[in-house]
Amino acid sequence: MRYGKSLVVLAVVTVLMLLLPAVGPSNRVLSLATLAAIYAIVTYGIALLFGTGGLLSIAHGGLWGIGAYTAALFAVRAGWSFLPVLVLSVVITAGAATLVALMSLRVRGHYFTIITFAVAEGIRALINAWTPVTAGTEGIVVVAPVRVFGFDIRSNADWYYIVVVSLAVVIALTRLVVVSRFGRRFAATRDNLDLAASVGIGVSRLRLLAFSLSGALAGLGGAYWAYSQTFVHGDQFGAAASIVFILCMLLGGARYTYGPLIGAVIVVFMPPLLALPPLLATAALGVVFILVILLTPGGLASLPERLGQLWRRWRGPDPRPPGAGAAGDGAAAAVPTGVAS
Amino acid sequence: MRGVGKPGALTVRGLTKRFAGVTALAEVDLEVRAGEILAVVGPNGSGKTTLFNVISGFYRPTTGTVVFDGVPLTGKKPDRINQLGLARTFQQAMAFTTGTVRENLEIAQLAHTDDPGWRAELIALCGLTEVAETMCAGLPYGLQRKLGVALGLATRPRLMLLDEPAAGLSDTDADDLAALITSLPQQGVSVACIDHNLPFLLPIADRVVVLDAGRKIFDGAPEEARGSAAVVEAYLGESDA
Amino acid sequence: MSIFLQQVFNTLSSASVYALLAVGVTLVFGLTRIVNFAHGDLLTVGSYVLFLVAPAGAIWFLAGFAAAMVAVAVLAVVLERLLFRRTLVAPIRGFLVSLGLIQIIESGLSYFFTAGPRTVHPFIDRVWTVGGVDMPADRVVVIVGTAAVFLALTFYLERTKAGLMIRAVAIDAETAGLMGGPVTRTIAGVFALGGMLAGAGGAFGALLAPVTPFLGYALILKGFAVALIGGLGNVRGAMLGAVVLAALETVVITFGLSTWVSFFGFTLMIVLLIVRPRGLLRGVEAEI
Ligand SMILES: Nc1ncnc2c1ncn2[C@@H]1O[C@H](COP(=O)(O)OP(=O)(O)O)[C@@H](O)[C@H]1O
Ligand SMILES: [Mg+2]
Repeated sequence: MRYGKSLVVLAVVTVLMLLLPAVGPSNRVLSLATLAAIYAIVTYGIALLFGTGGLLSIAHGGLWGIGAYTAALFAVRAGWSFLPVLVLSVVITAGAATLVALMSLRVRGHYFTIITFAVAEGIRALINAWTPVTAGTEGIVVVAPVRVFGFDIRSNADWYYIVVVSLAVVIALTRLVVVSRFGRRFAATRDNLDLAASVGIGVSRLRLLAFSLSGALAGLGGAYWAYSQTFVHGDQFGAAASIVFILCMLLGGARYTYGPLIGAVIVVFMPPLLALPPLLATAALGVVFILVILLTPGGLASLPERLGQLWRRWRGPDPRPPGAGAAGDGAAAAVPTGVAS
Repeated sequence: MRGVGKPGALTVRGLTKRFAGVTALAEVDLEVRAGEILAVVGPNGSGKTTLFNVISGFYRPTTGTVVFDGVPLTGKKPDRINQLGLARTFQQAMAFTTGTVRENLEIAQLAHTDDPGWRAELIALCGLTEVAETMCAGLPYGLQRKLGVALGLATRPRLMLLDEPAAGLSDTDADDLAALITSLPQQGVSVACIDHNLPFLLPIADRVVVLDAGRKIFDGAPEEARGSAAVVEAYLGESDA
Repeated sequence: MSIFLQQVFNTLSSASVYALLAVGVTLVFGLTRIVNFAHGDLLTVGSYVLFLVAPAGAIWFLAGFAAAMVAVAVLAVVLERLLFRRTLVAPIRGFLVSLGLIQIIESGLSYFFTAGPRTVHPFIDRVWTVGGVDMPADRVVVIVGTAAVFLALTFYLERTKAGLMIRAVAIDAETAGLMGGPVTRTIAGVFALGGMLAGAGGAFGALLAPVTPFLGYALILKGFAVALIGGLGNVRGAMLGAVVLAALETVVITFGLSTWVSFFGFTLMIVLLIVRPRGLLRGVEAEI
């Protein structure tokens, strides 16, 4: 029921996004919007792990590099056409993510995050070192004719449409996963791993699957990145990229339907809007990042809910018992416990 | 009441668990017979919790086997073991803190058949009616313990391992819990229960196993336990509360 | 034989910088469970303080060295007061905060000092040759200086009241707090200590190789690997881990695999984390 309703909202949001090219934006705005949508796709994957399962992965900044390089290599060197390349990128990245999960999920908490960090940087190091295949730091120029269902994809607007439609599918899919029985089990593992296992929830398989799924999204985003940026090289990937995605996620709010999207739009559009020199823009992003972590751990999407709470508290005593929805649920998750649809 | 199922039986043979430097369990043989209530007692650090952790798959035994209704459990993961019909509670009260009591029971059934009827029954049975819609994070300790038992039962086990379920309960609450545990075998649930509160545990137990420093030093009827010299020395004399 | 000794000498000089970094990482983690990835950038800040204070001259180097230690210690304490203190309840947030700090410090340094590499050569041209081993003066200064710093550190941690307090908090913050120990002050103190070591590492590091604003990011991964090898929270382990990593790098480079150094480094780190998450020596328990 509720899922049906949020699908309607999603349809409206998607249509609004698809109207953007019609209002005649500059090429620059359009390509930034495409970039934001690509970031959002990867961020929804990270947010699924963190928001629902309490797993903070830094591996995705490397994993999406695998998606991007798969796309670049098969589109340019092997001459595959667009849709098969897309599928292959997703499959290979999901496979790599599964391997990463098999290794990293054996340890808990901090150690998990540190392993994923090493994975991200390891992938970057591999891309940079494996020159016969990846051309190392020189990178690969991705120019390949793209046809989708008989349409030639050439302009910025074409890419924008494709990426936005994919993004809408990704949002619907991740939402479906979160509200499903699978998602509820996954949430139980975040809440209390041992207790979840003791009531029969297959925590290992569950977390493995979730990681693979979120890796698939990184692969999709990576492939779009390769095609739309037309150039890939090793240093686009790695932990630094993860920081950007995590910023998108925390800024918007990992547990809200539109949190990652809001976060990605802000992260992509804020620097040009501020018109700062690139270095200062990066520093500003760092400042915003820290402020968000310290001040709004639920992300911007949590603000309406939190303001609502404040309003109710101001108007009268809170009918909820103490402890309910108290901000900051301790160790693993850096987000409050309230969940919005 | 739910239909009467068949209670499960557990056989533990030669179970040893070593941690770096510590032998927490040494060659323990033990049985929980179908339909009985087994009391597991022993001083702090004698290996009782470790025994439950090994049986329920949270620790791998160093050597030895655990068989449940003919199915070997050794090497299986905790979730698999629960699926086979064995549930446990934890010594530290645990709940899914992000939900209410009722939602907690729903979560406990996520990997099993969803059964609102049984949940409602459990809420009454475990004395949780008043707090059914309360968030677990703020729950008083005694109620959290009862919730722990309810979470295990929600998975419809045939054997239930209870780790100090009466710790921190008031006398009235402990009496209610004792009544609940006593009723479990008729509902198709065998029980193994650890507790320090012997006046609570011994009257409801069919049999007692006493551990001391990882070894089983007594296995027999509750009345005999009080008479056994070894047991008195290891435990009963020390804290007959 | 002299080739081998030469390698040992080179290994020791890079191990010095790794150790100065990793001991700070490990101390802060031991007390707060915060993985501070910005610690590498503290070291870089130390290098830039040296460039500002002592662009040349051996005597001036001492002044620059002291200034680097003090300035970075102050910076570390300020960061603790302003940011990390607020993340003690959920250390993973401290880790995230440090990721933000990396961006601020590195782009800040590039903005003010340009992104190009910088060097200092206060002891230029002096090379001693002992038993066929070439020992450039600046490398000797690094090795001897680091040894002196660690002697002082060991004395501080094992013989002074404040040092014992640090170890008490590392073992069990709650009990130490209950015993009336000023836990929060101790934590600030450990950030200061880590900052001093990073400042020293920055000054020494500038003697070994050119410094860019982005050095910290490359170094922290190594510093962290070293802390992991030694077992997080284990000070002596970190010193040992630094030698292990530096030796490994020397070997890989000797075999002409220098482009693969970082890949092997990360692979080693991952394997280590899975097989011995508490390090080769024992580190502190770290669930979350
Ligand atoms: N995970 C563990 N690592 C190391 N030692 C442990 C671990 N769990 C239990 N032990 C040790 O095993 C022994 C038995 O502990 P436990 O089973 O908790 O005793 P009990 O429940 O009877 O009080 C103790 O010495 C305890 O320190
Ligand atoms: Mg116990």
